[in-house]
Amino acid sequence: MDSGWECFIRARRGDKSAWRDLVDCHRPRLMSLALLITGSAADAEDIVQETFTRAIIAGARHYKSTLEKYLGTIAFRLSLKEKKRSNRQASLENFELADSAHNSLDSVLLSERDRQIAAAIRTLDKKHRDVLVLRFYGNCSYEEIAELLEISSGTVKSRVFYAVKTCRKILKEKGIL
Amino acid sequence: MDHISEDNLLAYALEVLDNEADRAEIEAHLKTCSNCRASLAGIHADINSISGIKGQFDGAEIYFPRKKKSFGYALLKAAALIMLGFLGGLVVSGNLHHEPVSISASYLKLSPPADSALGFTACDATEINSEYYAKLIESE
Repeated sequence: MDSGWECFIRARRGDKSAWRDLVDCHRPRLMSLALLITGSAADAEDIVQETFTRAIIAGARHYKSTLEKYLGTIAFRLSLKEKKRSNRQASLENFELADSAHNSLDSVLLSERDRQIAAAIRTLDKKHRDVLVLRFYGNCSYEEIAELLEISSGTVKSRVFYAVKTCRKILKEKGIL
Repeated sequence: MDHISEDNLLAYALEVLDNEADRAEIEAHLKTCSNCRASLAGIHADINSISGIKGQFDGAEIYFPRKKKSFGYALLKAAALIMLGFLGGLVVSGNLHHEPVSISASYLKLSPPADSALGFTACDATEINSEYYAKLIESE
């Protein structure tokens, strides 16, 4: 068992120091993951809290995988669910989501460079954005992404390649990279 | 000597090349070409930037979740409480001083009501006193 899981188990048993370490270690990455999918800082905060809650309640049943991947997968599923809910609500209320998402990213990503990178990732279509986020922010392997999204490993690799290539092109044009 | 294309270097950096021969060829080339090594380093830096944005948060604490108690746990707790109550009752009753209880027979004497017109009372609904019956016949 790796040190991540050991910390998780100690946190689950009520060790406050381990809980702080766990949160400090994984929160920024999970926050970015949720933010890139939902585009909302408030939703991302809620998703991160819910991710830790679900992981602690469910317990450590996934020792074979890494803790990063376990938490990343929970956060990814919650983000997709939230995104779906907010899209449905937005379409019902006929409300302009793009501006609010942009403002939300501004409030959470303090560096202009990070904002531009996040905006480039969010310009990708859903299927390319999801694999990129899972690979880089969920710490999932290509095989794990393939299993999660029920597509072939070759398709995952192809989408990650295209997603990174597109982001690089956008960011180079803006002079960010 | 031809350099490796940027797409191939990107695919190599992302580890998406399935063909072992392609990978080996790129690695062999990189050993001898500083130009391609520099390009690869640039691609790695770009990938690190794309994969490294950090969401800031407003400092709100992430709360440790309260674990939900299972139904089995609640059942066990209830059973333990019942057992505790039962055992407590036994202990308390064992310590009490018991007085012998004596029951004395007492009899309730029934007498006919003073204002009874006939001066009889029915002691059994199935039995009619013969004297009472005679008086009933007379009164008719």
